[in-house]
Amino acid sequence: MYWAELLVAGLFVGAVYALYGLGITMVYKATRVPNFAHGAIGTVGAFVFYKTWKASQPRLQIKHLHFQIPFADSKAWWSHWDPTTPRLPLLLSLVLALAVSVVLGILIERLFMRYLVGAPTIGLIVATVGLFILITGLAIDFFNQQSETVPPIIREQRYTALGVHFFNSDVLVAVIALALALALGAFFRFTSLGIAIRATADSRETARLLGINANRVAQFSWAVGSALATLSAILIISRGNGSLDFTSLTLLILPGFAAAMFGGFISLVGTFVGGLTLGVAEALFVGIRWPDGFFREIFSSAGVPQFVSFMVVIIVLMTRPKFIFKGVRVDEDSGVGFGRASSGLQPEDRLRRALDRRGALMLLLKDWTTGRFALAGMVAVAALAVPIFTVSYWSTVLGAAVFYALIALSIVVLTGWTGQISLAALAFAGAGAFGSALLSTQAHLPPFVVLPLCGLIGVPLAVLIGVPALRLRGFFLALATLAFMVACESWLFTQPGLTTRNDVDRMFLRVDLSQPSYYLSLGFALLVFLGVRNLGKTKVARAFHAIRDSENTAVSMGIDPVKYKLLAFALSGFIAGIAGGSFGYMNLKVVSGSFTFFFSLTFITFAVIAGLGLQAGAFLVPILFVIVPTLTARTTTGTNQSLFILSGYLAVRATIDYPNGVAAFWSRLLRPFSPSERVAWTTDEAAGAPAPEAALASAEADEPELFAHAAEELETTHA
Amino acid sequence: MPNERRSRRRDAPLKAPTTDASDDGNSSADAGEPAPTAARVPVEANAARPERPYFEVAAVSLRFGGLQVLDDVHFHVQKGEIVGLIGPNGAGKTTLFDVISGFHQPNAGHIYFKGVDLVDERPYRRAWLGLGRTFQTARLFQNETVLDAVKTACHRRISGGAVKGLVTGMLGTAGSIKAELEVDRRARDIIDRLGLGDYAPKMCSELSYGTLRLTELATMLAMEPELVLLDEPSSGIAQRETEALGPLLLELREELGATFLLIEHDMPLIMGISDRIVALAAGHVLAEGAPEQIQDNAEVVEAYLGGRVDLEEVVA
Amino acid sequence: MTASERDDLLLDIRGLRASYGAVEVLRSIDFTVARGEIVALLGTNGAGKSTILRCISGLLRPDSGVISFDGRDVAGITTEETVQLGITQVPGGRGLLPNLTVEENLRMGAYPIRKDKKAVKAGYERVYETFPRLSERRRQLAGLMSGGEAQMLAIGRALMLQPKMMMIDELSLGLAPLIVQQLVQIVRDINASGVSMILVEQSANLALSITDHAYFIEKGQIRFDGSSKELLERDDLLRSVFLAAAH
Repeated sequence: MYWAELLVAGLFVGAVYALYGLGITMVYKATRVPNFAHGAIGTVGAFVFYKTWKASQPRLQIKHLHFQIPFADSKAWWSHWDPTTPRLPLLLSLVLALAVSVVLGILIERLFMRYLVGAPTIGLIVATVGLFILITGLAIDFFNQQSETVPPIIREQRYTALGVHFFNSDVLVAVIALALALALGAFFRFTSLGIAIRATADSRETARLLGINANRVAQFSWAVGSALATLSAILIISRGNGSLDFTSLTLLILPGFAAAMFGGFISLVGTFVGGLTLGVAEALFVGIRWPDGFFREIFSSAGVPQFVSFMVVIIVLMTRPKFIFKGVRVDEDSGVGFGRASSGLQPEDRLRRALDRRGALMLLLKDWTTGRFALAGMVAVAALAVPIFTVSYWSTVLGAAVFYALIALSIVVLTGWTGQISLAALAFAGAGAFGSALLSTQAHLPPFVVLPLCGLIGVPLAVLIGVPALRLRGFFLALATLAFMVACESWLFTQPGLTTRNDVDRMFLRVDLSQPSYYLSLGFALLVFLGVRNLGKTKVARAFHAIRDSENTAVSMGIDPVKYKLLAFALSGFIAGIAGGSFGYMNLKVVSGSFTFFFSLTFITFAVIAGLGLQAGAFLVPILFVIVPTLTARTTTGTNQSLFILSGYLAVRATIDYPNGVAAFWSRLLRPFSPSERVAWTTDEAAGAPAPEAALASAEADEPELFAHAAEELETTHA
Repeated sequence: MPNERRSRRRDAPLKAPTTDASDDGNSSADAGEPAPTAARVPVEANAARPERPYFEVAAVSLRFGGLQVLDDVHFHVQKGEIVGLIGPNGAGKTTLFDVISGFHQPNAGHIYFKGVDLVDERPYRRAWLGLGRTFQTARLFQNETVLDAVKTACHRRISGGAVKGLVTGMLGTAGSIKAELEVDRRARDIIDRLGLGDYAPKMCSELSYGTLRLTELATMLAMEPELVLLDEPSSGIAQRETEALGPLLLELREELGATFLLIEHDMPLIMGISDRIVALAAGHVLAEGAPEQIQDNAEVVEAYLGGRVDLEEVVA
Repeated sequence: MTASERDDLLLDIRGLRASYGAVEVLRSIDFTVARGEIVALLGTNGAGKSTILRCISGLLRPDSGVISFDGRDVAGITTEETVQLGITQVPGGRGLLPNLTVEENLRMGAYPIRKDKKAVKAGYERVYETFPRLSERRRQLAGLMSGGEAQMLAIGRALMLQPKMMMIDELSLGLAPLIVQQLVQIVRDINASGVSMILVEQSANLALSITDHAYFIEKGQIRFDGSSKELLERDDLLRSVFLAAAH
């Protein structure tokens, strides 16, 4: 009876996963976009529903909305509007919520995703994570952040059958999930539009040749996917403890994706079965009564279900059973690229042209050679002097900046350089941070020994997830590392062995002041940055780049992909481990809540905005996302979410227009001048807007002696 | 001229595979490679040529699902030769290249290079054994500069494994810096000699096709392979440039002292520079011989032009 | 047909230029199809044959040039519109939708007229009558069919709409001679029913024996064109294109 209870409980949890996974499958199937914003879209719909449903309104603490224009003066009368929400019957507010989410889905496709067709996987991931941040930011401003408690949509009742207890709300979720899976399955099988969606997924080009409007098909999929998100969010919140907030649905990202994975991101019924399978596997594993000893110890903490989903994801992705992966599109390339979606002159080209017209470009480029040293000097002085002359608060801020810089560097090395999409940077950092606690308090090692050791702790963890990475690319690799990150956050970092020994001993660095710890972290960060800078000029970095751009070409040049991929993971783990160590010394107490998978996801978007492929990008991350927000925090007018809204929006825009981020903009703006540029500028103005490359290429084509000249040259210089 | 060279090669006794591999001695790590035993060589090949040729594709077959992509492909290449591989679309030429470079594992057969069976070697090891290749769609490294692409091709020239490279590289040891300077000098030299100097700092994604092809050839020079596989070097480039490509390839061969195996659709080019032609159709070798012989071979002509349809018969 | 008989033009392309990114693939192409005619488009790999089709169908926006179909300028319009104008295509290579069944593939062929149930039904009947074999396999996944069946399905799918012009990209590629003969017969029948055609082919002899007019394209330019019957007699010309000798 014990196992039967568990089984049933697992099935009902699994139904929730399935419900969430259906929407993910829906969007991925049609557009190949892994939608990390699914939960956010659903939460918006759920807010609309519960804020307008008359049965839930009496319990709400905040009964009005709060429209406000980001970055506009919050005191100005025109910049905000606070209406009270209407009181509607259940069905009407459900329709309203679904309508809002459908509009949201259509907007997402029309404004952003349309321009990302054919974008590399990293772009799709970052764009949807950016959407998550953007939507959540806007929605918090609309609905207020306050977590509300709402009543269930049906009166809860407990039933008993065959000695197993269950609630009617559980049954409702399971039945709706099954019904949706079957209905959508039928839709894709029997209706023209459904078949057209499958056709577009099979081959966009062939579908277009048949007269199918691929954009409209994608729009429809986003609309339905968003409606599904809302429906599942309402049900999940109702079935749970009725807590309406912006974080609880985020936690379903991994199980949702895992359920969809069982359907190969294609089959809706497969997604449903996958959700149940995962739920049952978790419930049964949690239910095991381990004998006293090691296993009992490690499997008694809270995050065991997350550990199970990690194992399930890894096993399925590594073995790729035929019955799931038949007809599934597996990424052939790394999924990391910096190609632009839009052609024509880029913003920096236009800026250069404008500067050139005013005769300023040459001056700027000339001054920049000295200017860069001046700028670097100013940054260095600020980093060194500010903590001395200010309150301890600023060294905490700068300490965070160091942490951000190192994490970003670890992402640049692994993802930007080597093309291995990893969402687990904070897992390595967390390991380093807990390591700093253990090594300083338990082993009584001095800080300057502990920090490099923290790096070494990150290495095996990174290599561990690097091994499956040898078989996985692109989206599946991202999924595997996401599962790993979630398992670390929820299970590994909550182990009693760690949480009871999580204080960091600063020893001779003064306990009451954070400045000495900051200088220590800064010193190590400088060393790491210098080391990576040196490495950037060597064959190792070139091998990394080669694997990212074309593994086959790399291999044909004699580069061993296995060795270099693992090496990239190891180096990335080392850097993140040191970051974690410095985090420990800055914060004195290490908790799993500092190393969440969502923070890790956010970091990828930070890195992409700043410049994923360039070391300078890692340098810019703390400036853009720590220093600037801190400096503007007090002076920013507008909503409290303005910065999130902006960075979410920037992340999506960056993937469309600027896949290599601010750093690339900067370096391309200040690159040496070449005369062919002026040709491109003028052709751009003359003939609408052909791609500048085409203009340059046609200039080159007037050079037919290319090969003849090369042959001649070879002959004369022949050794 | 090609004829003369060919016959000379054929008469000259070839070195035994083992000695060949060891006294070539470029790829340090392979000293211990055991010579393949005679038992693994197909009997008829063994009987016909007791000495194994420099490079041999021996009875290679490959299936994709239900499709026989390569069917008992068999041919050889002598040292120093330029052998052209032709055949209509879908004949399996590029697939054969992929098998040779290790991206597909054949269902049957062997590929011998200097006496070593390449099928047993991991793909990247084949580069260390002296194999170099270009790809049909010259993508090279989209996000790298021309200079870096050529330097990447010098990978084999810097000694030391990956881990050692990482540590010395990060520390910036004198040895590492010196080796990098050497590679940099060498890469720039190659780029200058091919007249690519102006393009060195450009991204590969910004290049025209012709320039990209030339960059690819520069990476070949940098790799210093002994056997070069070229997959349609003329594809995507203008006619006038194609005409200049033949002499360039011959020059390249001279410079490298390498053996060439190339796929090409441009008939004047491939017929002009190849010593021998191997014609593939539907996954098997249709004919093999001098360019003139191939051009007159009825089967090859038919494979290209297709059989005539007897209209009377069809309509009836 | 002589040049003067080719006056009633269905498709008229003048000065077509197109490129993929930096690579210019078509350099000023002039190309016409008269009403009721089958025109062959011949040339080696990468010559630009498929690119011409892509420009006509609207998949690729030409850099410059005029494409007029049935008296209307169609350069740069969307694929949906070209399909609605009556241009259908049998795509080369993996042009099927492999994870859809045979019947679903056909249904997608009728996507623009999906509301008109009667016309769709007539389409099925027409196709199944032409290709009885497809009728037997209507529930089979398209990806699991043999090469000949796949080609039949691709042609059948293009027939669902009763097009004015059908473009076939590689009719005979990788198919057994017997099947090619069957397909040729069907292509001629379709043409006889009033559908103009463009046939892209590797096999020059095959193409010349079933078409009225032929264009030879090389490196993005038309090298020569002429009546198929006359060209068929000029063996030397064909060889110069496909097996050109250096001597």
